[in-house]
Amino acid sequence: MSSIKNIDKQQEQSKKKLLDIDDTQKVARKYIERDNPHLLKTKDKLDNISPSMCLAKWTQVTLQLQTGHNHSCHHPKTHKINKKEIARNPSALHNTNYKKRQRRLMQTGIRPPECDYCWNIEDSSDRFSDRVFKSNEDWSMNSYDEIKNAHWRDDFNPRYVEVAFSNACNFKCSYCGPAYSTTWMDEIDKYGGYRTSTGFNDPKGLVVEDKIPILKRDPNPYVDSFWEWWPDLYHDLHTFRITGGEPLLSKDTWKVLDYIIEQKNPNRDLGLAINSNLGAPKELIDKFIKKMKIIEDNNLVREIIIFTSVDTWGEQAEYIRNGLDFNYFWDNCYTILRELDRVNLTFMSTYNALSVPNYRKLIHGVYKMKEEFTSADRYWNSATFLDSSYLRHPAHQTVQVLPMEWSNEIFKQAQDVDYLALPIFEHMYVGYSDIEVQKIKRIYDWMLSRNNEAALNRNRKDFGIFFKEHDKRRGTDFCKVFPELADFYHKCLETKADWREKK
Amino acid sequence: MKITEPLFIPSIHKFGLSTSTIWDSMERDITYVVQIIPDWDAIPESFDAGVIIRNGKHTGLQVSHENGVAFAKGIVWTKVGSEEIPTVNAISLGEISKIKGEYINLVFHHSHKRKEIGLIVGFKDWTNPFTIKMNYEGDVVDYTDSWLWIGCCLGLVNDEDIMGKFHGEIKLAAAFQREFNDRDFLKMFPSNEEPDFTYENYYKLWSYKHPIFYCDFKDRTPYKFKDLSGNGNNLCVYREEWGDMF
Repeated sequence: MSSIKNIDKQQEQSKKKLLDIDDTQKVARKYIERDNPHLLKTKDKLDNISPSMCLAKWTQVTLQLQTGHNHSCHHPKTHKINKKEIARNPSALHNTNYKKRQRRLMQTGIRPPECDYCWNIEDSSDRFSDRVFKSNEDWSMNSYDEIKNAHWRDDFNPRYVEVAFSNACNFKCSYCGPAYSTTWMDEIDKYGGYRTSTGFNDPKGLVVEDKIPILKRDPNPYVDSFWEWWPDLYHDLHTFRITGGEPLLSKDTWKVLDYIIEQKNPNRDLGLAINSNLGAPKELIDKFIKKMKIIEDNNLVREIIIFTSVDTWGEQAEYIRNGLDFNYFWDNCYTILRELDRVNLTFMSTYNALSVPNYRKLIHGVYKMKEEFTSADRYWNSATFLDSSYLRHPAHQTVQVLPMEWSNEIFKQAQDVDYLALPIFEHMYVGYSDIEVQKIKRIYDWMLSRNNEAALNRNRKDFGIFFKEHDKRRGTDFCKVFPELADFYHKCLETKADWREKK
Repeated sequence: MKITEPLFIPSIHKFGLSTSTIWDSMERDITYVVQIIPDWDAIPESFDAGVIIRNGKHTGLQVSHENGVAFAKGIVWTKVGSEEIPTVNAISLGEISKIKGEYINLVFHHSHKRKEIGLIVGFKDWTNPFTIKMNYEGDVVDYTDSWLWIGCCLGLVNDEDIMGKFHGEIKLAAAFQREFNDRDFLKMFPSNEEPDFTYENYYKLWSYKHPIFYCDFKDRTPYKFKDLSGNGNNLCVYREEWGDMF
């Protein structure tokens, strides 16, 4: 009898526990409903089609035409575009048979396994996943009815397109690779991959993934199909972003700009974005500014954002981004802001281990630009943004490899940005926005989250191997450029499997 | 720096970038240190002007004047039984006509353990500061949600009386987790010498006193004055249109 009583008691307790969990979820849900009514509405609309629905599978695409890959959205791994499909139908650059099958799964309530990034979030928390955020964007939600009524076999013109025409690039940034840079490709052709534990940039990896870039001089059927599709695509576009390689070295970039300039009936709702390392020859930079000025002055698009990249300041930035002449780059940034008085210049900073010692200088440099160029005439509130995202791959160059005391410096940098931040994000105020502060704080949090000692030792060893080889191949001198990290570098070179950081 | 708008530090930093928090500072010892030149003509008679205050049941430093005589006040509210009562420690600064335009150096200290509030006052040429201490009964009321204001008692309201606006100049504002004695006071404000509030001097002399914030009002943006202590407690300018999402 007593054991039955115990079971009853246990059941009662479990029931109470379940009720408590239920209550907690209800409270969490209440807060979500209060703070994000529009997102909740979007989620309900998606669920109305199916619980695995995401509009971005239709509305957004990244095209890597140099390798013939694409993905929708940017979370799933890229997949190969079928040459036969695009020969019949150029929109198959986006509407691949593979992707159509994923859409079918979504319409029938089955979760496509490639979208596990979102399913993981939804299954482990009450937070909205990117499926909801991306579907909630104008460029998605405006097509809701059309997508709801579409058959899974139907072709659909995306609204948000990112395209890389070629991997031609004059830089070989330390964390990049041959799929995105011809100078990297030349190095790998000459010396092979790096002898890190991961075989960093070993060309065998590209063969396995079918990502060997098509050479610039060779015919590229994916680019040909793009131009066949473009007249039909152009008027449906909400956002068009050209990436690379270095887009200014690609003739197709100029073709896009000329197309927009020459249009009798331009798509004035288009948001045009171009990535550039702003390290191309002077005549190309001047040509670029001239064409953007025509587009800007004649209101041929809704907005222009120029994305550029730099990861810290001066000589150290030059070391990370091999090919960069920092002063030339910085002058070009000023010229763009001076000549193009409506554009926004966003610095995409891939914050890595080598960014830490001098990042404060970049923070203050970008702030000076904000002070000088912020104006209500610009497309965006601020003339510049500092978008600091932490590097995740290759693991040997992330901030997590550094000794933990460097996290204090990252924290101080977040404090600096916070000091230079504005009270509210409005035209008349100059300074960093909340998101610019939070992104640096996030790097600090991420550095603290490392917990795999074995991986840490391996990555540190790889750090030493990579930069020793880097100096040898490229004639650079790590310890001269990074005296602050010289001791750490030497320790990495001596790293054995049992090296532990003192706590 | 002439105070034209209220300045504040929120009780909790919205991005977690404060390394010495304001919200629980009344649950420990705390010392406020300021150098000010009140504009006595602009401060109404019998009006408590907030120099450095946690709002709510105000606690901190105020100045006022009555019948031509100026006062500095230290105040804290405590809970005795079910009743909340103020403990006010006041010190005369002398006749306004004699101190007009002069810098006043002020320290307010709250000792949590001794249940005591103390004031230290000095003028430029004083060789010995004047100190008074007073004990309070009960426990300090809950200040965890209160912001810390400089140049007023509460900036979130328009009502002049409730706002308790300070008129005048402020050259230094700082808070420490350690007590200041007369010797510390004279080190901070040396007699007949121009005090050095710069970062270098702060770092050399005062970083061991567990600062919460330290501001000499020299390094600033349009919206903030830099906290030189490195604790991320920058002093923000308060304007109504910015709301309270700090």
